Amino acid sequence: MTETLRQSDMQARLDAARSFARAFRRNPLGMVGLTIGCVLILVAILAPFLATHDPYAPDFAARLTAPGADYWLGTDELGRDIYTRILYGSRITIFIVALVIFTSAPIGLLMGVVSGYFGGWIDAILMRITDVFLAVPKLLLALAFVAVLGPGIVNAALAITLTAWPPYARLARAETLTVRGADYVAAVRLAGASHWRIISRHIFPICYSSTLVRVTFDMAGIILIAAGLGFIGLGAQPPLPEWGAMIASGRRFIFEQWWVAAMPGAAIFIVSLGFNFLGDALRDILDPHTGSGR
Amino acid sequence: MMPLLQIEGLNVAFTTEDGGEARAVRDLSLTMGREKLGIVGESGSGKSLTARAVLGILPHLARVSADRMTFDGIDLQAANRRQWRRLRGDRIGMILQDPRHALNPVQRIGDQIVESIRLGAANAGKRLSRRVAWAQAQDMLLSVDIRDPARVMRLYPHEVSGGMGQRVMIAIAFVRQPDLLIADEITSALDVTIQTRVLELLDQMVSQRDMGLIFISHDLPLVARFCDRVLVMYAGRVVEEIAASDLADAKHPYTQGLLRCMPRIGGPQGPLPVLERDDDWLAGAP
Repeated sequence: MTETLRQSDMQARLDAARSFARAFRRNPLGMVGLTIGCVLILVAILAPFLATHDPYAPDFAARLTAPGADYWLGTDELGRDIYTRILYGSRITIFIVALVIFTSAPIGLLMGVVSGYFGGWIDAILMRITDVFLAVPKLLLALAFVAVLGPGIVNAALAITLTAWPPYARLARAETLTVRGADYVAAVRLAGASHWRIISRHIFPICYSSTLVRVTFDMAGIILIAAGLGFIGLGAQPPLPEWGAMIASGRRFIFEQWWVAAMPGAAIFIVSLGFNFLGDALRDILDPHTGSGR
Repeated sequence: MMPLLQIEGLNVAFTTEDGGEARAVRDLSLTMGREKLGIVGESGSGKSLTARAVLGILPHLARVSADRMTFDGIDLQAANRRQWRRLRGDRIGMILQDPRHALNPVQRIGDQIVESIRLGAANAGKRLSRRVAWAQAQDMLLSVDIRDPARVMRLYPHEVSGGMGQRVMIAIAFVRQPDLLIADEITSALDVTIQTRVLELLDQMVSQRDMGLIFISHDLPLVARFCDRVLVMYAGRVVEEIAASDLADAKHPYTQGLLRCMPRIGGPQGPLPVLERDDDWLAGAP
């Protein structure tokens, strides 16, 4: 036996991380996606240092300036630097995405796991509720919800959460059904574990990897919906530099001053593309069914 | 002395698709003390269902009824969820068939043993630190003949061999020191040499701790070697109850048939006899 004995947990985990990284590096599109994701986060953190102007201060002398040396990506109708506003807008995007993910994934997981684990009428009730939410078009439901709660970033995020959790519930239920009857679940039950313990310690972890993939794919969708809500004025409110709202304000000048709408549009495009690449790569690595990478 | 486990008239039935009833266990009665009881029978004869009925983990669709089912004076049919949790693991342990399926694939072996230890401590109203439980788990693995417990505890179930996995499962059951242990076909996933080793270990641990053991298997000679008493089941019914040492003089034609269709070294080389089934056995007549 030439395998070196693992000295510690730390080392074992490092090994696992290293082999994961190796598999990831073989996937060029995944690396592109990862890079875009990292750049987005860095930009959000370093926005004040990277910015060339104030994102809020209007400068009427420089209204609708074309991209150039002074204003890299041009200015909008109030003379604000679009480059700076996109940088700051990444913070709003990340905030919304994070808020939606950290609310919808746990809610969906819990619903799905409980439903799959207990089965019977609990399953029937929870899954019919899920069906109702799945049956309503996402954007429409979010719209209705924001219309009731009033526009704003947090409300927009909550509205998106409302539409984003059902797929997680479905996913978690399917995963749970495959392991619910497994011997090891029976074995922990035989060891006297309570239902809650079995769910939290033995069934939840099974769902993690597929959830992670789903989350990454979802990020692109969330960014688009958030931008959509911003575009029709129900998301972030002016003067916040939210990308969708920026496109909306540029709509009037789209033929003469194309950059006002095009630049934030490009930002949305690149970021959602990046998350889709990332999701693809994660799925290839984490999903045993696709079989690549082994 | 009060028997450890007493079952009278146990029935387990499933509803079939056409609305009929499939009776998987019929009028089963058994009484046992702290001894090694073997249950044998072909697949589908109701061995595992009987064991699962004792632990109350039958599938939802199964309908269970019994005239009497007591464990150490506790009425199992009247036990509520809380009592069940105290019984399972602490008083009645069960080892399942295949370590590849019965261990959580995404949890390290050490964590799974520790969980069992801490569940036991929690039921006894004590809080046990992870460190102490981890040390206990290591000792337990040593006593089931795993030489390098510190390393094995950090492995995931797919990284150990079947024999080692089975020993881990034995360890998980034994850390709780149950009064009754049910071993359901625990050796059928193992090869013969490891099988012997695992059985020796089980034997030694059961006798040391004075436990009752229900050993479920379809391997009649193995059960005969290993147990004190044997129940032979056919189609959900106990057709014969016999001391293991007397197995060679079994009276029931089914038991005799089972014994006859085993190949023997030095036996005749022609085709082995095929088990002849008799519908009368269903009614319980020998």
